[in-house]
Amino acid sequence: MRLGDDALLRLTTALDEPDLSGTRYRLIGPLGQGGMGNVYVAEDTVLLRNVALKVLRVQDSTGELAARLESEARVAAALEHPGIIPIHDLGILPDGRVFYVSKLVQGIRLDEYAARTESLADKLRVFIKICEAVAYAHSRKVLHRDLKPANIMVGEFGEVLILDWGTAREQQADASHTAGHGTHGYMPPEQERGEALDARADIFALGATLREFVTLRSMPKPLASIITKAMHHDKSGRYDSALALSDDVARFIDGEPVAAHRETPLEMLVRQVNKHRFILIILLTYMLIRLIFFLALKR
Amino acid sequence: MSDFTPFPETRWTALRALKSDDNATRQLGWDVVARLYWHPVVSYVCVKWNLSEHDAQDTAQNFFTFALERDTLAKYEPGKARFRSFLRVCLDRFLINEHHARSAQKRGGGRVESIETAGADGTPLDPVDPEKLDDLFEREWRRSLFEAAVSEVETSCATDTQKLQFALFRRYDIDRGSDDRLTYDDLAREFNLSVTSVTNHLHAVRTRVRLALLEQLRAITASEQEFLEESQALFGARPAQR
Repeated sequence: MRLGDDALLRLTTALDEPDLSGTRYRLIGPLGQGGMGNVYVAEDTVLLRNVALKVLRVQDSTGELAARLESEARVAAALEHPGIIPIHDLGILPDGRVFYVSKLVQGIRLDEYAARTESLADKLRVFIKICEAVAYAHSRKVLHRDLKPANIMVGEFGEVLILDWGTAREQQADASHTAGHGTHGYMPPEQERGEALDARADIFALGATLREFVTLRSMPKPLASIITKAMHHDKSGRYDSALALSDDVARFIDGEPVAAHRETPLEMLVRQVNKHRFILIILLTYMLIRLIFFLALKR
Repeated sequence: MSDFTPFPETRWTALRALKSDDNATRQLGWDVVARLYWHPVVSYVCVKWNLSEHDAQDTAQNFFTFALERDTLAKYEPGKARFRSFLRVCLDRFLINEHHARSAQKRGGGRVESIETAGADGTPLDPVDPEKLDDLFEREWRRSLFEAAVSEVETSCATDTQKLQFALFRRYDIDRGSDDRLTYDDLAREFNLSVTSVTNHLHAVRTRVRLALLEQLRAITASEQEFLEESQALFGARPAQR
């Protein structure tokens, strides 16, 4: 039997589509693809809402990929936080492939958000929310291990959702799970070397994300220092928690001195002037008016 | 697990069989490789050497005979390159040698023209874009793989229900050409079934074809990693344009 081009194209799509018969979901269309699975938009026919359905692309002979997808769903499901994608369901398709169902995220990727947003303060407030979600995961002893702008979505109202917990592991997990996971440029040296990780591995990735996120022509020194500290090659030189990092970013937004940077007297003066510039302008204007009056009366 | 596994072991691969000391196993490996690569090789030779399909088939036959006699494909080393790329290199070398031999014969051992500038009959040939050749070979390879899987499932349809399922699949997924108007409702009327039955039957055959396809792919990849990469290239949902 010879297949024409049309049939070949149709079969490529049809054979890849998940068979959702026997489930409560109805396929709507493809949404994207990740490292090990394809993501579709589907309708939950019971709750009458659209959801994201991630399906393992191919069943590997060792079952490792299926186990990873299940682990991704279970890890994320155990983390109930507004900044972490909620998981609704986990199951197996008639063809044996594992799938899980999560909230259909309405929003844009962090890198797209950064490109569209001018205000540095707005960007940093979003970054703080990311840090808070990561800090929550760390409090539950879970490391993400692959944080990067592509895995973070920003909603219409500035809400954030961290996705793709496929490489996440408990902090106590042995180092053998580390090798081969993560994204170059976002993972710390100890992860590249395949060593055991702790929360500071995610701190490094947050620093790399912040560096890409702010993309300023001239980075303010305190902010540059925050990024440098978060991305310190030696983990003992980094922030010891995601909250410590977010606190420092919050201090920067508020015009307070940051822990990552020891400022010179001149920098302190500039910061204070910047922080209180409106009061200073009012004060200077008042004094100028008084001076003009004084000079006018003297004549 | 597929009911259509044509091989004695789950982890059996044709590429491993090519290196076997056992003649029967080696022959089985050869049959799989030749079956899946026959059309890609013919199409490739056809375009690259500007040959008629009949001549291209002769050339492909010569190539496979040559490769079998010399055990050329058994020299493939997994990890260095994909088998497909290795086979292409072997094929190109064979074509160049063939061309040189023919040219030398025609000219009594004189000057030999480049295969890139001359057709099989020695006439000037427009150079073919290498990317187009790559695409052609890839597309024909995919087509062979899908055809083998579909044929395997068709052959295995024993019961009336399975035959009906395959007829539906054939009508909807294969035989309708570029007609995008055919719906499950049309199919239900045509086959006197409910739309739900049509949906379920189609899913059943697609699942079997998918499994057969992956078995074929597993048989002609050398490692689990290569299998996963190839399956990602073969499938992979693409987001709709938004």
